[in-house]
Amino acid sequence: MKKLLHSFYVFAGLTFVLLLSACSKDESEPFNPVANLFKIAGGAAGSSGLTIDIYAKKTTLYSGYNKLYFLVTKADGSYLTNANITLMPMMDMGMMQHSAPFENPAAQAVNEVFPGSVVFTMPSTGGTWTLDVAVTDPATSQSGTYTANLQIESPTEARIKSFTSAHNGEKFHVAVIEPAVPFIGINDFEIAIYKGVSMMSYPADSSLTVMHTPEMPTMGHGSPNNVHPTHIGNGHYKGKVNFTMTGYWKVNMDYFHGAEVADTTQFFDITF
Amino acid sequence: MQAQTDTLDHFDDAKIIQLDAVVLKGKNATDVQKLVAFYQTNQAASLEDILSRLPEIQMVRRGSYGMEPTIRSFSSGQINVTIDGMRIHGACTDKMDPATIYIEPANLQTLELKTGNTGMANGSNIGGSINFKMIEPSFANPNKINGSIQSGYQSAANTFYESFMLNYSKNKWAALANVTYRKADDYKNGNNEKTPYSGYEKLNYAMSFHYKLPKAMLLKLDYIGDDAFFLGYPALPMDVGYASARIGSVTLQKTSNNRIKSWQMKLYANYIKHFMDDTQRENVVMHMDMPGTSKTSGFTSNAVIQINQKQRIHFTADASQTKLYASMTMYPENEVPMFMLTWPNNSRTQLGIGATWFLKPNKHWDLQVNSRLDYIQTKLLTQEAKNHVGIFSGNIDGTKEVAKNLSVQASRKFTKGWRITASTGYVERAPTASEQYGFYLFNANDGFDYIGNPTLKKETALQTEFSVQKSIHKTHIKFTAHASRIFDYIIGLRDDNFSVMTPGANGVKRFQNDGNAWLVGGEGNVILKPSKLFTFVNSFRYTYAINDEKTYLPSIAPFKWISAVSLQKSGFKVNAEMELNAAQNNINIAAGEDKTSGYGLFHLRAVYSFTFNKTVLNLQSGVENIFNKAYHEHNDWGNVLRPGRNIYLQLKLSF
Repeated sequence: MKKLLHSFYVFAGLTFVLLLSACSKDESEPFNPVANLFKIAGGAAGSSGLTIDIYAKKTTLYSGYNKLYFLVTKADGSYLTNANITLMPMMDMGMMQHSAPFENPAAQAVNEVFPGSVVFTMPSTGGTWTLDVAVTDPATSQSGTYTANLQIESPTEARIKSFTSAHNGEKFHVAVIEPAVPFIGINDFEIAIYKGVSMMSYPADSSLTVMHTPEMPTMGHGSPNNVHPTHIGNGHYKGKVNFTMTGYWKVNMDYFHGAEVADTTQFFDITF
Repeated sequence: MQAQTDTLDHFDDAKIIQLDAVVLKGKNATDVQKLVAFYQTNQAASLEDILSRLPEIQMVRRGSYGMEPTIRSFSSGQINVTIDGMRIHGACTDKMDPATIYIEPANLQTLELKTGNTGMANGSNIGGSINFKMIEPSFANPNKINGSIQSGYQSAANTFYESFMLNYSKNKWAALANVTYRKADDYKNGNNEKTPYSGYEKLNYAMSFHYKLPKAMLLKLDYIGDDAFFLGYPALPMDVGYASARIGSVTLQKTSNNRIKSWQMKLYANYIKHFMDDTQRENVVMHMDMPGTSKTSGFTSNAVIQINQKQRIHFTADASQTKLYASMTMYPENEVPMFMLTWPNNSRTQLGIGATWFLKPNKHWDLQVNSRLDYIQTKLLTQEAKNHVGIFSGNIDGTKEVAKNLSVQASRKFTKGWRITASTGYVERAPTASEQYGFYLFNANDGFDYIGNPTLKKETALQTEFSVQKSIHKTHIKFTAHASRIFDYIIGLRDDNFSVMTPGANGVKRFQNDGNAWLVGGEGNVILKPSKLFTFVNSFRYTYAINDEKTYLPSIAPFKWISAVSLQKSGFKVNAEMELNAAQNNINIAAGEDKTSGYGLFHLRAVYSFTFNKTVLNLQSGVENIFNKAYHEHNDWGNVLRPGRNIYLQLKLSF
């Protein structure tokens, strides 16, 4: 019995020491701005002496709304946390070229990275995607551009849909942002709407009213207590979508312009 | 609670029903004991068969097995069903497995039925309680093996029943083991048609060990295992592929002649697994699985304190925790499986204390005060579970309730065996897990998907009961009238804002407190024994239940009358029985009910027993539903016809 008690004390002591060392190790580790992010591309921004690395939350970029994180490293190896970054995505299809909707990062980095986004409207199978990242360090006025060649894959379920509005013939692109990881329960439902003004211009749009209706076509049922997405700024619309079970869900999308119907044929497939 | 003063015995209004006719001998049987002993001539009878013969009990039937007992049409959520005081929660979201399905009459010694406000000893409820007392090993014949072997056959479903029991004891200890096996094919109904998916196969095994400790203490170890390999549910779209129960307990008890006459402490745990599937069904559009588990652990303790010759108090304190989980997965072709939790992982923790005070001021009067207080806390155990419930109910982690119960009973004895008893009380019950957290529970009876509601209030009731009885040597008569005023009656109400989940369902219902209701009724038993040769038994019951909107409550059994005569002579007994059920026209259409016509059934049974070399051979045979009547009871789901003519033969060898 005494022996047993003894070994228990030794065990308890060891556990305590191990726990302590585990904790202190965490504290001493330097902050990693790109922890949990995956590097997509990177290189020198012209002759500015700045290096730009592009990160994402997944190893692959898909057609649709992609959040990108830009890490800007100065020549001395430190990170630039205040910069003017402008994006320009470009699709080269040989016969024609077009851009895509995007959101430039703010001037101030968040945890040392600059979050921005690009809505790739198609996968790389139809041509070549490039992304120009122009950076200016306001402190030194050094500037340069890094051009990344990006491989854009097609997701199993389309995350971007386009339609020509029935009320005025304008072209709209709608990207679904949330739910990124759908689950049974109340999910955020966020989309971003862009108007296709020209091959090079895709401004954010807030002119539409959006109503969505989730359904399970296999079962012939919907779900209760959904909240239609409303405009929250920069073309983003946010609401709630409820999934009562896993499986194949079809979220039907209806777009209105005032009392006029813009489109009622679109939907997003969400399977989980 | 074995030890009771003789003078106070009739105080316990409980209808204690002896399940083994042999044990009944020499004991002071109550009226209902006599009733059951009378009917219990078919040893192969399942617990459900026996329960369904008691006028106070009605069975809700979904399949040949797994009928849900209700007391005076109070449903399983409103009553309290325990085994030796142990709580057991079925693992099926569709109530296909009431606790009674996991025990066999062979496991049981007595059945304690308490109606209305007197049934609060083992837990808060508004409809009464049934406690099954497990069979105990006997110390009577030390160093000898005693036991019995039974074998039987029933024609309606080709049912085989095999059972054996062994008892062995030494000076200090006694042990008992029994095994029961049942297998039934699809039964034939009164139209001579086979009822698809009505067969079943199950095995039950139980062990009990008693060890005598010093100072009149007794240590008891009890275990029941039950495995069902297939249980068909013709009234449901699915069957049970496999169900199992593991029920164990350790009990320490002491009896003495001191002021504390007896006390008992019990630790228990049980684990129920229940797998529903539709693999046996033809033309299934989409294959579906519905597994569920229920884990309960707890303790009970009670003591009997004899204050003086005229007063006695029973104290109870108990605690338990039940964890439930059930899910559903559907497998569409060429698509990912569809999964949901039907009982999002939840726990229910209950702490209760109760006391019953028995007072006998003089030889005419008996008074009794029952009280119980329960604290009931429920919790959603995982984020996934909270997400499910959140769709309908917002952010909810759990609920807390305190259930308060109080009742008084007075009984006055008159000359010539007459006695009048009256009781009244206030009772409360907490909502069930399904009522709080159920997630698209499909009810095949009304065709609605049910959604739980964590904001439900307690269901409460004011109850009163009045009985007149006469009990002398050859005449036993008892008439009882009862009334319950139910407040915040819990029922599923249609909500057309929700879309159905189950393909083909009629809609979605959400559990709500739907105002107040009345439930009134009565029962009667008349047992006459004009000569040694004959016994006449008549019993009836009637229940009427309506809410304040003048809508009848659902699942109310109609008027039923059983009349029987038996002839007994030297080891030979013949019993002719007539069972009349009136039509039920007081129906709840919103609950998917339709009218049920009345019917009459006739049964004939015979028993012959003789002894050779201390071995008793008992031969039983009979015909049930002699005229092959095609019928169903009002509370049978899907109006599935019950078995037609059934001829049975049963052999029991006791040694």
